[in-house]
Amino acid sequence: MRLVSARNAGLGAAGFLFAGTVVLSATAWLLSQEQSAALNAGLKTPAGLPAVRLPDGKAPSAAEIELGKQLYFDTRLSRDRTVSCASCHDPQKGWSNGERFATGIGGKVGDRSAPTIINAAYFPLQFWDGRAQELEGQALGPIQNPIEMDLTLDELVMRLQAIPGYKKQFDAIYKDGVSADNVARAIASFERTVLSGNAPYDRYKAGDAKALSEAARRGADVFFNKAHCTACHSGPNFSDGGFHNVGIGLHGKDFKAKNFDVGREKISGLEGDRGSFKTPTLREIARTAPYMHDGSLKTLEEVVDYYDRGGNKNPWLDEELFVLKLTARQKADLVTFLKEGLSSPDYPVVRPPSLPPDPK
Amino acid sequence: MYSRVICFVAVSLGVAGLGAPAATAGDAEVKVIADGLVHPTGIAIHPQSGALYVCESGAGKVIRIDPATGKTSAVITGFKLDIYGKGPKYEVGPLGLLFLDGQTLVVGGGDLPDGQELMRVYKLQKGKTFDAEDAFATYGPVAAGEESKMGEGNFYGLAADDAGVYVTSNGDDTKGWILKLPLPVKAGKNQKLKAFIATKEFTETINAPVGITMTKKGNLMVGQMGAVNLPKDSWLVAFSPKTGKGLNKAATGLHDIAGLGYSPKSGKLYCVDFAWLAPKEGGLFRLDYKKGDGGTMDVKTTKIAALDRPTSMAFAADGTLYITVNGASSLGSKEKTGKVVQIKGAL
Repeated sequence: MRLVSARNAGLGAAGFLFAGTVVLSATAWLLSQEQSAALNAGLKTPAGLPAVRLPDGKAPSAAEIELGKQLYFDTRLSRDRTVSCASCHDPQKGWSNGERFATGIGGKVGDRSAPTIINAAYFPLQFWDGRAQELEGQALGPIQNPIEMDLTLDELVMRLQAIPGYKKQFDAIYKDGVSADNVARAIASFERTVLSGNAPYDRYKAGDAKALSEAARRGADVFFNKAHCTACHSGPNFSDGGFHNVGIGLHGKDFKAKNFDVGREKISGLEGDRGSFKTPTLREIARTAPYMHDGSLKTLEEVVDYYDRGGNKNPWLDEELFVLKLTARQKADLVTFLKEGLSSPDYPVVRPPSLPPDPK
Repeated sequence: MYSRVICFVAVSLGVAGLGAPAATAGDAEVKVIADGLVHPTGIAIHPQSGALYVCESGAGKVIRIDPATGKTSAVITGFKLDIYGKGPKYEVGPLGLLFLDGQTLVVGGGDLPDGQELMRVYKLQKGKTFDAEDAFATYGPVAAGEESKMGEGNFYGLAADDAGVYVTSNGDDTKGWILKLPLPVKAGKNQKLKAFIATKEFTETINAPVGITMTKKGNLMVGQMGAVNLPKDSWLVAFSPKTGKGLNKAATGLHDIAGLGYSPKSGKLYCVDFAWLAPKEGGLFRLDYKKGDGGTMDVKTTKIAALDRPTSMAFAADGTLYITVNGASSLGSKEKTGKVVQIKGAL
């Protein structure tokens, strides 16, 4: 496990490996050019993952990433100052929240699970229904959502402008200083560093035959063949980034009344997307229970059993789901592969940073 | 109705650096040659007469169109209809067409369920209308089994060299198969249709090979449509028909490449983009590409003409381009919006 300390400056979070260590004073919110250069020189994408896409093709500065990390962990971005991004996307809980649904201010509970931030950088479309483009498009959504953080963008900007430590950083990083768009840029830049690769499966694929246990190797064979998982969970991030109806949340529903979460259809307007949700990454899947868009399956064993029986039948069920007829051993091996093979020793642990204090 | 000019644009949509935009189609003109068709999806040009052969897929037939007059006649009828999509839905019969010579027409099926789909070969005779069952030879199916969990179906795109006909197929989304029908064609039913290239093993995430054509060097150039419910996820991918290996690949930034072809005049590559999610962004595009590092390509796309859900394309020997266009209609629509359009000019 790779652990990045709070004071180890911005790039700290995950995914990127460091050539050196940078130590900041307790009150210094900005990185010097030398510190920033030192960090950028050490940037590497974990083994098994492609380069992260950057919307404008420009790598974020270390200072921008550091600012984004502070904002990510700061509960002052919510109306009652109790909820931060990290509340529902907690590094200690697989960058999710370990609960069935996301919980916002005043204990308000949503109706979808909190997707992990890990490797979210690889998704062009964000949220379970893909309603936002890129991480920048996502970052401001929960802040404004009445049942999550419930802050208007005007209020957000006013609050941050009133905190000298933030204002100083924004003014130094962005020509236009504190703005909602720049909050989104900073948080997205930080999230883009939350990567997980270099898992036992990556080393196995690269030729290290001993990187996986015998059971995990058998499980990999089940994963890539009989269980048909790669119809959706394909590529380096074990996700096609697409939207599929796998029947979750549709058992016993009135299909004509549409008394269920229609998912992607609400965004695309296509009936074919009814009940479809984005394929999540499987990297670090052992840490991100409960599973599925509604958090309805508690364990990976339950998930495998669900797919083995072909999912809940409905008129829009993805044609790639069918009865798999896995044996008990194949199911156990598959779970072993998911837990062992896709859990990285370099899991991105990020400790909450010191935050700019409120004005006196 | 024909000879009606419908639209023309030329917009550069650079994806990856090939330098300055190349010349546009200049004085090209888009004419409607035939309309009132039901989901036309495949087109081939008779090598001697220049007549257009079109899959009027939703009507379960292959028709012949005189490009000079727009007069249509049935060539093969009686295909069954299968449902494609979950909403919008389309009724589909035959999907892909290819002439091997002036008499031999290969038809890619879409009329049967996955795992039962057939490639059919007809020996045409002047003035004769065939029933779908009157094929000289059939190949397939590729049934559900080890090679394809679902069984293969929807044979959209066809390209050929001396060794075989290469057929893009849907079915097992873990594979994204290109199938191979060996040449020469032999009479007989249900001959072996080989699962030949698992395209997704090369592209990793991008599935659904649909458009296909041969390069000058004899390689296969394939448009991987990607998911119809994901925007701008179509790739251009080259494969060796000798080894089946992937050669080069590139994201194009287009939505859903449905057809590909090289202009016999300029040698340039063109494609049509159906654009499920954003039909107004679809149309005819030129793809300027060059090999990149490590099995990649650099591709620049230039929009040549806006078309409403184009489905396939074919160049005549003189460089005239013909495109099948679906229009807005789908299953349940009363209106028949399918067309065949012609583009002449500097393609």
